[in-house]
Amino acid sequence: MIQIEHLTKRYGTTTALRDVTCEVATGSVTGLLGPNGAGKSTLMRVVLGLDHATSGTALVAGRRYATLRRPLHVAGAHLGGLAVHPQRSARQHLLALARSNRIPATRVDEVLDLTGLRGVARRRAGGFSLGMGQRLGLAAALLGDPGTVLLDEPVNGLDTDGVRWIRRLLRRLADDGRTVLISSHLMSEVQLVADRVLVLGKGRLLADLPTADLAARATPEHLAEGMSALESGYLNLVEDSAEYVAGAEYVAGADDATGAGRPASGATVQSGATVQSGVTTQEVRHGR
Amino acid sequence: MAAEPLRELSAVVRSEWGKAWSVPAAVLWLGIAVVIALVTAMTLANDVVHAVSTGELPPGTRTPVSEVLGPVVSFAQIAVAGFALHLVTPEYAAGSIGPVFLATPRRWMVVAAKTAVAGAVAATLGAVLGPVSALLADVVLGSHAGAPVPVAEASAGAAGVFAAAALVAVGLGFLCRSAVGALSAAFVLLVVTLAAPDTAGRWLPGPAGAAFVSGTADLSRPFALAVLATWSAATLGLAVWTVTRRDA
Repeated sequence: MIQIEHLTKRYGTTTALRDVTCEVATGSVTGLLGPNGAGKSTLMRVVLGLDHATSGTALVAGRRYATLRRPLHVAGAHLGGLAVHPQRSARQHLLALARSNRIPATRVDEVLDLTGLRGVARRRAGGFSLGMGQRLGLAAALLGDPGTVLLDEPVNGLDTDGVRWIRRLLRRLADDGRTVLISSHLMSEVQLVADRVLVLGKGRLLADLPTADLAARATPEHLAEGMSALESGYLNLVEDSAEYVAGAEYVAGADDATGAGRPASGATVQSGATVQSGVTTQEVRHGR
Repeated sequence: MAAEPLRELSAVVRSEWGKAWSVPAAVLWLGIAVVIALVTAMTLANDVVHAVSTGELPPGTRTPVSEVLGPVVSFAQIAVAGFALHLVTPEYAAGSIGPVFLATPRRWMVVAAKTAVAGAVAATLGAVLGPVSALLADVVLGSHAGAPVPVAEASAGAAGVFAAAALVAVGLGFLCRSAVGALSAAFVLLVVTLAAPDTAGRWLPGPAGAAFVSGTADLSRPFALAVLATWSAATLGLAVWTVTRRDA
């Protein structure tokens, strides 16, 4: 279980998370959704103690992650990208992580088999494709057979077979009674694997509800466009929020003499483009 | 009570030790240190022989071997710093510092483990390379060799200076995060400071290291060692302080 209470995280003048309170339950897959810059990665980083909370608390299995001993047995995470020395082999990378948590080398070979990397385990990781990097990150996350798994965009770069494999893996982890939190931009994936969703928008928690309930917010116009019910429900949710936040930004921006990086004011109040425009503004301003 | 953190730390040291040797940079940096040391020893000793042959120095010149060993260790230590940095800065460049801190959230342990690995390797290298360089200088100087440096002295001198260079470099690696920044800072602290005037130089790691090897009149070995230890402790202390407070 992951418990988050009144969590706020600021980077300088940018507020990445604003007073977020939620719980990620055991025995289910929870999807973490939100536009770019909504705070999904920040939420995971703060939960995992990589970034320090400005205020509020985040507990994994009842404890702050930073206080865990041999934490790979409690929580495993992959936050995307190929986070390995390019000249180190996949096996050496995993072996080093395993040793630090007193995990036997046999387990390294197990996760290499599990993720299909056995054949390239002794090759330098610098030559890995995005998909192989994902598999290696997953292997690291599963190393300690943890009760909690956090994955940032886990299907990114995976081939069709890999995507199917990870769906089944996530389902099995949840059915084993583990806590699984995945962030994703792919509604089709979320629809297939997530039992619940947390939706973030501009650092705020917009919704915490069963996946089916979010899909139930679909509107006929979206469905007529060919969108899935979940896509439509999600867009309606973040759109509402973005209108509110974008309005606030518009007022703040009125004092901004340069107006650089801000979309035309008309765009922020139109549907559809609203979310994208608002987010772009924030990204341009803060480089995030 | 103290057993569990110790077991935890020894596991992290084992992890770092394996990582250190799993990329070619480790052997490369140590090789560079050996080459710098031997080439410097040979060149400086040969300079003396050459100067005598051309009449620049009187025929009866006797150069103490310690005068050669000092610069040998001072120059080679920058490659030792390079070895120490290869344990730290690539973690930031590749983003693997994330997984490392996930596996060991007590970040001071990561700093301590890398320090232990870098310090042990550097001291071992110095303990061997010091006497070998002194011997090489002695052989090249031939009849122009003055007082030899006892093996134990050459060993301890180079081991101490190399270890301090490694420790300072680990600290700088965590502080700067970039290889270029940290290596530049190490170069300035360890080598450029050799040119500092004596009054300021006695407090700086470069001149203190040279004095610890050669033993000079105005800077005693215990004092030089204390200066090296203080710089190492200060850099590492600042590194731990920063790393535990900063977002990974």
